Amino acid sequence: MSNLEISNISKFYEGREVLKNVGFKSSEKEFIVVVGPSGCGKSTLLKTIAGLTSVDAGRILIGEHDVTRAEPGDRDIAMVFQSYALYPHMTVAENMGFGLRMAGHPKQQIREAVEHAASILRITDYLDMRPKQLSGGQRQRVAIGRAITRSPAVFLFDEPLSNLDAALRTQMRVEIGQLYRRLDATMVYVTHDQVEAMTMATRIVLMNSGVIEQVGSPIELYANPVNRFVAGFLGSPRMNFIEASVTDVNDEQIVVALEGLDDIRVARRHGVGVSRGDTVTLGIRPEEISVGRQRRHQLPARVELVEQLGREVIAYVDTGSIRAIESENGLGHLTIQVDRKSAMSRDDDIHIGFDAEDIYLFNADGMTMTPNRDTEKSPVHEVSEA
Amino acid sequence: MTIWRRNRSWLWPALFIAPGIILFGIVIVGSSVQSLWISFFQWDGFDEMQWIGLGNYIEMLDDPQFYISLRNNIIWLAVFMLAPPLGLFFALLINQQIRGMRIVKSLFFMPLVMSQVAVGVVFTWFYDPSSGLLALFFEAMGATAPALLSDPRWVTLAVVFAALWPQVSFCVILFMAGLNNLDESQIEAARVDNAKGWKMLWYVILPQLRQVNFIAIAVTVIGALRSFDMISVMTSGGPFGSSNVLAYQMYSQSIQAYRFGYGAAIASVLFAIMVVFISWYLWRMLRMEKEGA
Repeated sequence: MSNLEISNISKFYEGREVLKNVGFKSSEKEFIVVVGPSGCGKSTLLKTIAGLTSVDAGRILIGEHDVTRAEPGDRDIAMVFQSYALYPHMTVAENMGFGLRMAGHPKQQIREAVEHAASILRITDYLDMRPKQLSGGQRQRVAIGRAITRSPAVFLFDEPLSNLDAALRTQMRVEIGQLYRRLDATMVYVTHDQVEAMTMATRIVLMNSGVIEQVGSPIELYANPVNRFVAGFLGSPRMNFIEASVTDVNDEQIVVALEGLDDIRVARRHGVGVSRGDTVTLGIRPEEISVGRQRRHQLPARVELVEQLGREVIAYVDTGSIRAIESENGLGHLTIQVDRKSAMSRDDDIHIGFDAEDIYLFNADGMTMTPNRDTEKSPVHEVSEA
Repeated sequence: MTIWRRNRSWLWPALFIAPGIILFGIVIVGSSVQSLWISFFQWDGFDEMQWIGLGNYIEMLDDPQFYISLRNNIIWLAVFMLAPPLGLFFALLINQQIRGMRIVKSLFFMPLVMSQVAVGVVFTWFYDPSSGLLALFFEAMGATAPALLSDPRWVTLAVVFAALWPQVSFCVILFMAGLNNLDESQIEAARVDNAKGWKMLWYVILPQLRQVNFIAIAVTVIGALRSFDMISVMTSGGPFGSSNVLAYQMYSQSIQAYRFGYGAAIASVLFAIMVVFISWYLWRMLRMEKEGA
């Protein structure tokens, strides 16, 4: 029942193609998080699934039905809006039962559905109140309750947590996750927050300027980004990118040089085209850089800024001639993430190091040139709150 | 200096409100009280004022013209109540993204820009039984046009319909502004909830237009009660006072018949009727503000 299939959707808006041939498929119950920077088309994609925006090409299937041209109310979906979009003149119970009422269900049945949804979300005490009397978090629950009451095949969430404060956001994130496990429905959840994407999704759809960059489980996208955009988007603090040049290449390896370092020998992805002299981008995640001299490649660095986060420490270090491109602070500093116990302070001179197998290489088009890592064994660290 | 500093939290607001209060006091409150005072006298505007107590009011009770005027005011009120729903209807109609809709919208705005006097003159010609547009219609159908403005049975309705035209376009403007401020996401939510057509209008759009609706009704009620200029231009209250309303009767008694005391008495009655509606308006307004807070 929770089958959702989107194929080759295109959407033009004022002459601009905001969705380019977008498609993905989910045949069983899934929690799909569509994530991407603002303006990437993720909200438009959600609205086309909801039927609030028409598509110029492509097909949408929900359940077994082609709903490409169907009205939103006939699609067996429910949607939770960023602004909650509750009807201010109705009580909480009326808000939640409105969909069933419009569908002509008997009163008794509506009341049961509303009470059931309210008990799941623990908002039974507010049923007779109006939205205005509720806090942001409570309103969000009502908006979710309104969706549950209709028991749709697909739930659509449009950045539902972005109007909540940080503590409430974390709490609601967990609750929506629990709700998903409880309900027999596919969820499509749009967000710009990569933490929400990593923590909630069974599958992430990562979008950028109207196209899908990559689809996969959170760990797959994190460990094996297909291109530099995906690598840079997921992970906080984000991956360090350094420009490097290829000094040698064979079937198995690519050798790149960085000033002041030994040749870095990186495994070559099967079939990827590369030749000596190419300029490539070297990527390394902040948690793969360690302080001290235990790694294969080492370089001296000066600590410029230390962010003590309690659980970990994030430091921005100046490595002289090796500059990071698109660095977090725009100064070309490398970002490193180390244990909270590491004593480090500003202006310390330290040594940092990394191993070649933790390196990603991206060609001039941004495509990944290093082979996929085994996601089972990959030592991926927890992603911290942005 | 210290007195100023200690009291400036209320002195500043008082200072800014003062001009408005003073002006309102002189122009509105002062002249209303004076008008009420005059209504207890017999006065031609020149000679000594002569105290007659409630004499003018007692005379009014026996004045058939007063009842005709009152009845006409009620007709005005009843017919004017068509303005808000018609305004909403046209606003919904023209609130669409179609090429050239801007021109249509500005056409709806036109009667509002025109002065009431011009509207009155235009409709007087329109109703003209010998050469008016209405007469041409009737001729084309092989009938003779009725002389609406000289027929006591039809004259009030004819004038009210002329006045309704700008009133409807005023309501159109109000509702159009209201429709522009609708919460888009609520409408989207309602579409997902399968509300279509009338149900969408009734359950989601209209509740959001409640404030606008209220203002449209209030302004229309007051407009109907103070109707004056159209009657002055189109009929002067005639024929035989059959299209007179309280505001015009007050004017003709005072200015044309030199009976300022009687005119003031009519004004006081009209004021009393207005107070009922204005109190209702203020009460609703305050309640809405309370709910909004």
